[in-house]
Amino acid sequence: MIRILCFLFVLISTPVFAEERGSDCLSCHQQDSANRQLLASSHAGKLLCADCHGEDHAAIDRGESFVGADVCGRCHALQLKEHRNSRHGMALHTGWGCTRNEPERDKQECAFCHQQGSSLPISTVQCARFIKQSSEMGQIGCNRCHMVENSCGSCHGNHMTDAKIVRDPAVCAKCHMGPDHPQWEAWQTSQHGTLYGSIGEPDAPACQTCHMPLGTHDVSGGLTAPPSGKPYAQQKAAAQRNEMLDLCQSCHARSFAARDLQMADAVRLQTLKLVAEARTIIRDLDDRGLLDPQPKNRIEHPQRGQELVLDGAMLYEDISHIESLFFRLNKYAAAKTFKGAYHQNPAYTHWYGNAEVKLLLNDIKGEARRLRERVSQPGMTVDEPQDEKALEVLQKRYQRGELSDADYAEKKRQVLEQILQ
Amino acid sequence: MCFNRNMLKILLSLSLVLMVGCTSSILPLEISGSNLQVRPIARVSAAGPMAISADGRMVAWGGKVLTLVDLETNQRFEPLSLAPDSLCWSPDGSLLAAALYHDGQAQLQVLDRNGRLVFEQTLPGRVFRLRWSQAGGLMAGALQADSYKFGTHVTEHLLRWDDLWQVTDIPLYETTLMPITMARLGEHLYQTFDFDLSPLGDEVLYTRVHAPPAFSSTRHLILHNLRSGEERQVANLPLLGGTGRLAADAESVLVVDGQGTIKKQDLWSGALRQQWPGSRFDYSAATDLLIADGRLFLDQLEFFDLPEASSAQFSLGGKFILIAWHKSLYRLEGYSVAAVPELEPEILERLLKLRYLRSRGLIEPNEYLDAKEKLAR
Repeated sequence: MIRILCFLFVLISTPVFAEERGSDCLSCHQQDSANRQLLASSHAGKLLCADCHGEDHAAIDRGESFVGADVCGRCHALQLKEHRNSRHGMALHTGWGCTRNEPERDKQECAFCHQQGSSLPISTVQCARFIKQSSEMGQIGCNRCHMVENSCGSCHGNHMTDAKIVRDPAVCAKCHMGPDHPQWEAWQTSQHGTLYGSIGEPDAPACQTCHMPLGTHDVSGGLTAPPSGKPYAQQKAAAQRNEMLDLCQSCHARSFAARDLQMADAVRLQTLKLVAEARTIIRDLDDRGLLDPQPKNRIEHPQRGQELVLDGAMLYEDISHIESLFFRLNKYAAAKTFKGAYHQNPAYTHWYGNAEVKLLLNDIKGEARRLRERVSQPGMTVDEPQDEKALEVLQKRYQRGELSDADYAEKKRQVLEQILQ
Repeated sequence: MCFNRNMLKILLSLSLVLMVGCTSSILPLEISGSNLQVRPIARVSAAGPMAISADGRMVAWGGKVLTLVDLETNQRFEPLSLAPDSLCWSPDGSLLAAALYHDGQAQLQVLDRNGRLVFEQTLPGRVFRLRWSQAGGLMAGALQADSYKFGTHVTEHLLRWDDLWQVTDIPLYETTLMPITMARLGEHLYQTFDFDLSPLGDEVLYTRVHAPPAFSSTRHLILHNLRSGEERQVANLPLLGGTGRLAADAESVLVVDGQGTIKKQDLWSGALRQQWPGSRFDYSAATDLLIADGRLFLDQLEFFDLPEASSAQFSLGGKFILIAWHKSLYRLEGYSVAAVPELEPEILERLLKLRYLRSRGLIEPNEYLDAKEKLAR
């Protein structure tokens, strides 16, 4: 009899508890800004707190209530799919590091790579620059941009999700600004940006106009190179370029826009050539054991150990002075040059970019000369015999593809002649 | 090292043919009409290591106890009541090195001609190969084995003593052998490690067990450059039996496959140069003479046979052969040996540098050979 009464009680009371799910939160959080923002958003009346955060209050208290992109994707499936296919959806791949082996790590960080309760990583790529940072610096200086891979709130905000927020180009500026990729500044001070400031849309383009046309969440459309910088294959690049020109055509003659972007392509290639020249100088110094300090005498690179790293995993800590110059040249000045060119900004292309690239290349050449001359000073001789060192340098250059088979053989023959004399 | 080798071979061939004639058996037969002399030394009670000094004066062997005989004075000493694992004489014949193993402890003892102890040292592992040369000093190959439940951890060391008895320990290899591999090897484990020093003193050839899970266990013959530490595999050998010796030209290797064949092949290209039948062997890099199953060869030329079941060993420099046959030891001498000419120090230094650069892969083998040829001009 008691069992039947209990069953009836449960049966009758279930809808009441369901009704109470949302109001349970509001009994305490009614006046919270989160609730006020939610009520002012387009989600008002459609979503309850538990729909996104779940019902486990203890887990929420432990900071495990992160609302990942998959939660939003339950309703916004198309947008999530577009986002996942774009470079925003790969943001962690371009700059993230797992901290599981780091001492005194902040366990909150797990949520940026792992869905709640899952050990499968969203991203398997580690970022050396992230690993080198303190937990706090990693959180503020890295995660708050790179979290975009798995957090719609990164652009939309967490509770006040009105579309007008994300249609403002300022929302992009949070990440797409600064010395390493000043897209926002380059746009803002270009003719596109100044027109946007004076006459606004629809006659002046914002970030979203070109990179998120018609509200797509695939921000990679129309771009001819991935974040790694190595251009797409010609066929894919041509298709991407056509996609961008289709947009340009809404205001410009297609041929005019095509010429402009082709000039930017040329600027980019010219800049990358200067970067390569600087990189070759530093590698040659490393081959000869002239960097100070040499990679073998430094704190190990977290991914590559005691080798010279000048690519995307290059650090700005524990490196030599000439590498610092190269970091600025490659990461800051070169980026300003071609991002300025692609955003039609003369000052960024020339003075912040091109001029800085060339001035830093001068500095690198001067520093290289100093390091080479220093070897001849007393007490600064290189340990290894010079002929042996010369062969090592040739071998490394050959392995990097800087010497053809014939050139390598000929240069080795010349060194061997010296040994035989 | 190998300059004028053809001339050298012809001279040696002629001298041997003139002296030996058609003699095919020299023990215990007397050989008339030749300069070859066979001198009986002693009866031995048990088989064991043996060694004859470069000048042929001193002989040592160890069956049940270590015995030394001075053939000039006919004095005989028994300084140790232990059977040594390995013996060798110093280049001038004044000192004898003996590797011993007793109560789980490996030891090196160095004795003078009268059997008096000159130097002793505990070794990190058991030694079945000692080598003493002008180029390398005294060297020992020690194999250390530590047994655990999951297998046996094996470490191969090359120990090298200088004139002041300071030792340098060069770790060559370490691996863990599974119990199944150890069951096959048993006490033979210690004999899986053998080594040889290049006539130029710059490279070591050594053997090591290769026992990957789920595959048959074998041994690898490895060339190790002492200056660069770089290594390359020269040949595959069976787990038990077989070894290698660096040839007189320092550019080729004699691979004893343990299955009845001795092959001389190029160290770097692996190209087969010569081949002989045989398993029991000794080789004199100083003279390029090979004894294979009792037959004495210079290249493919065979000069005489020793009796079946005899074993033979060259003295350092190759002027004498110590023969064990029917529980007796004999000294064979009188064959004219043309030693491989030595290089001038300046040329040797450059050649060693080229070999070092080759070991590091900074020059290719063909570039090395071209440079070496220019050096010889």
